[in-house]
Amino acid sequence: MSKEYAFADEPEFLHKAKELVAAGVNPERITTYTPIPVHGLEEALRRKSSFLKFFTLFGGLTGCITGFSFTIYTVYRWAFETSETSWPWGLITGGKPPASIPAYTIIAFELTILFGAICTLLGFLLLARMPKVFSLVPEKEYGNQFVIVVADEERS
Amino acid sequence: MSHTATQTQEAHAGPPASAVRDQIDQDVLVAMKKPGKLFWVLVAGCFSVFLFGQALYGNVLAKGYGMLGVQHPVSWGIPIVDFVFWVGIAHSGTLISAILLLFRAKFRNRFNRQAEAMTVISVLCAGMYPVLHTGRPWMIFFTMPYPTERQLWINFRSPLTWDVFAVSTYLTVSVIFFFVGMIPDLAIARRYSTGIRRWIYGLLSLGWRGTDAQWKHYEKLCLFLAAFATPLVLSVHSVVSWDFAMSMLPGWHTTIFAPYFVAGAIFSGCGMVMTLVIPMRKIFRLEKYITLDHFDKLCKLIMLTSMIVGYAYLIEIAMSRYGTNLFERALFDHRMGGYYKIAFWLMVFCNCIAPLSLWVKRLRRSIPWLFVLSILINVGMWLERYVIVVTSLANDFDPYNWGYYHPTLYDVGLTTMNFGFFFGMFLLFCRFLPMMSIMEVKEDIK
Amino acid sequence: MRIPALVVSFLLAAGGVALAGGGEHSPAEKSGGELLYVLLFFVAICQGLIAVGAVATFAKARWILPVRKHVFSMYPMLWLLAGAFLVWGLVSADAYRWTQNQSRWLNQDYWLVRNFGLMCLTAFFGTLLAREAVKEGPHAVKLAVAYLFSYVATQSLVAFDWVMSFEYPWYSTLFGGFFFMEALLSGFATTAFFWYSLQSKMDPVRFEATKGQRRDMAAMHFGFSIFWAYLMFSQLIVIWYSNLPEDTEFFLRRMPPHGPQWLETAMYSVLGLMFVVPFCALLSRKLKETPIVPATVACVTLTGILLERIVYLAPHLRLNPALISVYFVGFLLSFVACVTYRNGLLPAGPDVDAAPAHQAAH
Repeated sequence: MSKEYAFADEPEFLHKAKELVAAGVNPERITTYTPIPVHGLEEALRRKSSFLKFFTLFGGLTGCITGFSFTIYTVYRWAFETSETSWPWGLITGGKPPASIPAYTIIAFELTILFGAICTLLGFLLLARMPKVFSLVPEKEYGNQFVIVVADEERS
Repeated sequence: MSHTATQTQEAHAGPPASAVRDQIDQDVLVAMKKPGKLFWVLVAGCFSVFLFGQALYGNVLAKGYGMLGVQHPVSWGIPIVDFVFWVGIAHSGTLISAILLLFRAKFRNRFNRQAEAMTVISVLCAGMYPVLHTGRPWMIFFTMPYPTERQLWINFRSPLTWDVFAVSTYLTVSVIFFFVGMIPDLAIARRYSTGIRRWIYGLLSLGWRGTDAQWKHYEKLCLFLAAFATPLVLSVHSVVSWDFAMSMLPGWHTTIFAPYFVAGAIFSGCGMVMTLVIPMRKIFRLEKYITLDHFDKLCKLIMLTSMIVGYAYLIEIAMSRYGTNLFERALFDHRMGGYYKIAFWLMVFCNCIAPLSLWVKRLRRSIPWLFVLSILINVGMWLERYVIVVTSLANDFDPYNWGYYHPTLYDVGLTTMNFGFFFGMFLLFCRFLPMMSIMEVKEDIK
Repeated sequence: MRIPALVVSFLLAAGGVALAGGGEHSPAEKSGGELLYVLLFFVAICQGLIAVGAVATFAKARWILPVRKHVFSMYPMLWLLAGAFLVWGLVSADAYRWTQNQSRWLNQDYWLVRNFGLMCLTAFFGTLLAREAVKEGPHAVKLAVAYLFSYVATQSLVAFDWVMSFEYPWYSTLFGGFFFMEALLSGFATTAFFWYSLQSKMDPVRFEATKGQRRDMAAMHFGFSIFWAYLMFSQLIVIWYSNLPEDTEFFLRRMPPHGPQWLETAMYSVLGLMFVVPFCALLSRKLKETPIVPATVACVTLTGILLERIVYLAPHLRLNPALISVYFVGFLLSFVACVTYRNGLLPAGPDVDAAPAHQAAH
């Protein structure tokens, strides 16, 4: 018994959404289906802003730390097993210092981006609750209309 | 206020907004209907070129790497030229979709899907070359980070390893960006298809509905991916340029390589975008979506990057004469007046002189000239990589070590092979995936 | 009162930097580089500011509108800088070692003529552009392009001729590009001061409406700081990796045992000031929108540029802090005068303060 309001265009749709919220309808009950993102809808429906940035930050930091620690670890790894002294002297190639920060910065930079992008994608899938495995093909498609669906009061 | 807006709408007597959007859907998805015979002939043609190239390479593997013209001293020949060429083309796609998104340049949304597809396919093409040019492609796993039996890992200080990380990251992020951008459009394709295809598009679009929650996260996702892709554009081609700059060879060991290569990459990629979009626009009748104004703006980007490339040429030549480094001076004399001078001057013509024509407004808006220019740009940028790679190796420090590169049929085969792959894959992209960014065009055309 | 406080703190930082480079701590023998040092700083800021204006004019950008007049009021400074350079070039050019052994390119007369000529050309186009762009006249875009060409040429020669020739025969092909990008960065950074000063002058509702524009300019500052770090890293990695003596002498001269320790510390500080601080401070959207934050970060960036100039000049020239302060304050007062009297210097243009509210929200 949910109510549906379909509009052909954005301004009327946004106006109705604001009207519904002002009339006291709980924004949690309102779902909208639009062909394009509508600016101002988030504020109108009083949604919290997206948490995606935390996934991005986490991914980026992990990538950066992994980049440096992985490269520096591998260079000292060989020395740990073979050196007799307690100080690992590290594997030298091309006359570069074992912990060659300028070179490893490039690796760390690429991993920052790689992990950041992958974490952001996974965060999106989690937050947007996609893929909807059991309803990949929806029964009802609204096409190019802007639709507001207000769910029943009984549904939580 | 809405009353006056409706009055103005009636005064202009245009179709209602939802009908316009339906029309956009139809126009762009027209390529996804059953194609004619010509399409399959073209695809078959492209992939036969690819397979023929593979067969030629098979011959190289059987008889030895010497079948290619790559010898001492020019041990990096056409395979590496092609690698840099294709990676360069990929960058422009990311610039158009990601960087122009951050700068809010609206004209990008008519090109960005094609550009993103171009990026993914070019990175695949580029990735083949380091594998092929080893001569022992079954050993390519050596480049992956793993500990050998002696607990020795790969050399993270080597530019070739930086390349592995950079190009793999670039491939992954480009595929993610390409796929994510298509999700709403795949949902539209799902809506218009039936049967098994509907199910496949449903799977690919991950069940996208277009709810406000999904849009909220989606917009942030695109923004963050664009923010990640932007430094990738700069860093990946810089890392590729550092394959050369980390050496000591005159003509290679120079600090300007990183931004110079990036500008050149964007330049060559924009040329390739035009080469692809001009016929596509004609064949699928998308003239009203991709207008002359959009090409005008793309041309301005081409002019800017052409000028940066020209500046880099000038500075390199000037600096070669500035210092006391005799080898650098001699190398540039060889580049300009030696065995490869035709390649050099043709490169200068295609990259610096021909784009000067774009200062004339009429030429910026003339589709035939733009198509010709885009081919010249592709040729010129391929030649630039050829000149950079081959001349520095051919004429290095010791005259006794000089030697000239003579490409064989197999080198040419390796080059044309990936052109076949690229165009074949692009045709398949047009057929099976939404070829323009429907959602963004709808946002634009209100 | 907040702008003077910011400026004073910046001057103190600058003073500290000047002390660092001058006096008995300098390893150099020659003196007389004070005017050059101050010129190197102001040429970046003033030409960079007008370059920012030129870029905005070309892109028909809205983010610059409220501070457009501030930005374009710099054009008299371009003439002042050209004149000051001529004075320095005529009087003190023997600070360069190549004046003892001149060649076709590094030849005192040609050097003076080409640099002074290009600075005058830039000043000329800058003047025309400033007056045309504020009026939003028909030739603004063409003049913006002309200015940008002469700006690139001038800044490239500032890098190659004024700074890099001290190091002859060392060269870096990216040096010219590095300087003109750095000047553009300093232009974006300096606009933060203008926004900050507008906060007390504009009515609060209108100022709030400029939030999107301020965020955009802080984003440009952020982006260009990263780009600066990229260009610096490009030069560093090539020199570090190949380890050729003819390249590394640039750095070795500035590190123990061949150079003083403070100079090595200064090099690392430049990286911290010009990349690390702007990156961390301007990452968050909220911080970009609070006017004090971009203004403080701008102070940090400009101090970084001052320190960087010391890093370039210290091994070659003794810098007297008192004289630096005199020149610096002189140019700073001219800068402030230009901005304050911008309405007199520039023609009246369309009303830019009335930015419609809905355009700010993007």
